[in-house]
Amino acid sequence: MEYLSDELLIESYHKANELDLSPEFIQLIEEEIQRRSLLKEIQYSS
Amino acid sequence: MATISNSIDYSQLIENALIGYVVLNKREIVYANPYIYQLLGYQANERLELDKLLHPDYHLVCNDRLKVVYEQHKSVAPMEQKMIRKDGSIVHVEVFATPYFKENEIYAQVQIVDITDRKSYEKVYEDTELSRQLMNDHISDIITELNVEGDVQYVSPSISNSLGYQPEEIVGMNLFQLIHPEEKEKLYKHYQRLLTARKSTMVRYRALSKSGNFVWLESRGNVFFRGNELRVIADSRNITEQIESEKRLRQTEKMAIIGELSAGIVHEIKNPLTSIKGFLQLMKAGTIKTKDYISILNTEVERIERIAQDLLNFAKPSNTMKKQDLVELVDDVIVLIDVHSKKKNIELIWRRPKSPIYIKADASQIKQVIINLIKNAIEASEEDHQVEVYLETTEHHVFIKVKDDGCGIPKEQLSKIGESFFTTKEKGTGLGLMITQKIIKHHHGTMKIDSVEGEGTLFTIQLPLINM
Repeated sequence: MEYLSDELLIESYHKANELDLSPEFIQLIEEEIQRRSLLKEIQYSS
Repeated sequence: MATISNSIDYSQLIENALIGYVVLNKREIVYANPYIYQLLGYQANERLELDKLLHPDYHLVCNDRLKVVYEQHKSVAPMEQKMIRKDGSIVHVEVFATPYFKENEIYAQVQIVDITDRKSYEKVYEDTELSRQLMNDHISDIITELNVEGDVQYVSPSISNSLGYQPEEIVGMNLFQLIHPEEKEKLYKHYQRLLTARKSTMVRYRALSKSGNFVWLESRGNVFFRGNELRVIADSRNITEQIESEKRLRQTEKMAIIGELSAGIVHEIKNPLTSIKGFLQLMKAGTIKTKDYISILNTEVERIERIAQDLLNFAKPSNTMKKQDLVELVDDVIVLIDVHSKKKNIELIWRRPKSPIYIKADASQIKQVIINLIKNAIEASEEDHQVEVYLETTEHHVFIKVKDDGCGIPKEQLSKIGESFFTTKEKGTGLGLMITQKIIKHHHGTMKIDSVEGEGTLFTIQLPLINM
């Protein structure tokens, strides 16, 4: 997860939500987003 | 000379002798020197009768011997007999008789030596010898006497039980011929230290048995002097079974650790699996370019593989001492225990050195030691605290240090650490540190604990660096 680019990470997050993938997976992505302090990015774009 | 001997009064010599002289005519005592009266407790004017003086056991043999003297005119060999004092007590004597001719008469001249002292020494000697023999035959330890070069001078028969040799096969052999090549040098150094420092310590090593197997022995040596020569006396016992049960115990404890860590380890595997599954679904939906995800999947799979491999390596019973990079060993352990620490919200800090540090070790055993220490530190720590792991080296040694700022160990309990079944933890078995200590000893290292109650504990393991 940590090797994913910021851009790809955020894209994956949206797609995962769209496709209604498992909450654990979405949570993992969220945690990584939080770790990179990118929370703003998803809030803006959503 | 001649003039003196001519003038000597021989009867006076007999009168003053400290040996008894008796002259018999048939069975009648015609002369006894004063020593006989004194020895048997009679007054000088009392009548002596042979049958009263001689113990009844010897009456018959006395008759036979006198017959030889009187009829064959021959001496009889000295013989141990018993005589009876006037007060009834018994005197051990040695009796010798020879014919004595005077004016066509034949007498028996009898010499009587008091051997009571000799008899009592013989008794002491026999008793001592019997005790020695009993000990020798029934002791299960092997007692060996060696000279300074290590040549066997004596070995107790018990060696046949442990190693299958007869003592006579071993006597004259050099001890070091029988030692396992891996322990020869260690034992040789130990032997030299014993000879110079003259202080006895235990040593464990393998020795070749007659059947060709190696048997684990534990020996304690001591030095002593036989005359002027410095010798070593060693007390050895077969500890093969003990070693086996220690090995089993180590394995059991290891499995218990794995059990405790398993929840964390499964969690550690589940995360990569979740993300692999998620990304595969994203790829399947075709929304994102597959290529971008490949390397991500790869790293996640590698992570799982690493954990599985670490766990397998750790669980595998092993007994091989090889050159190992200590830094890598700690790396492997951190992977297994990191989640355990995260679960308790404890930050595990591993100050990883840049270059490898080589030791001769059994990888699985050393990992067990490190895991034990880190696990202990985590369990002693409060939430949100740190556990620090770092290595320090000197010219010949490496120090593994595990530091926490947890509850510490009360002073009065420090000395009990490492005893089997001693534990300060509610659910502990008390086996962890005992096994840790055994493993460290096996690696020729030492363990030190610095602890202040309420402030934390620093465990330091010292291990020898490999000679480059």
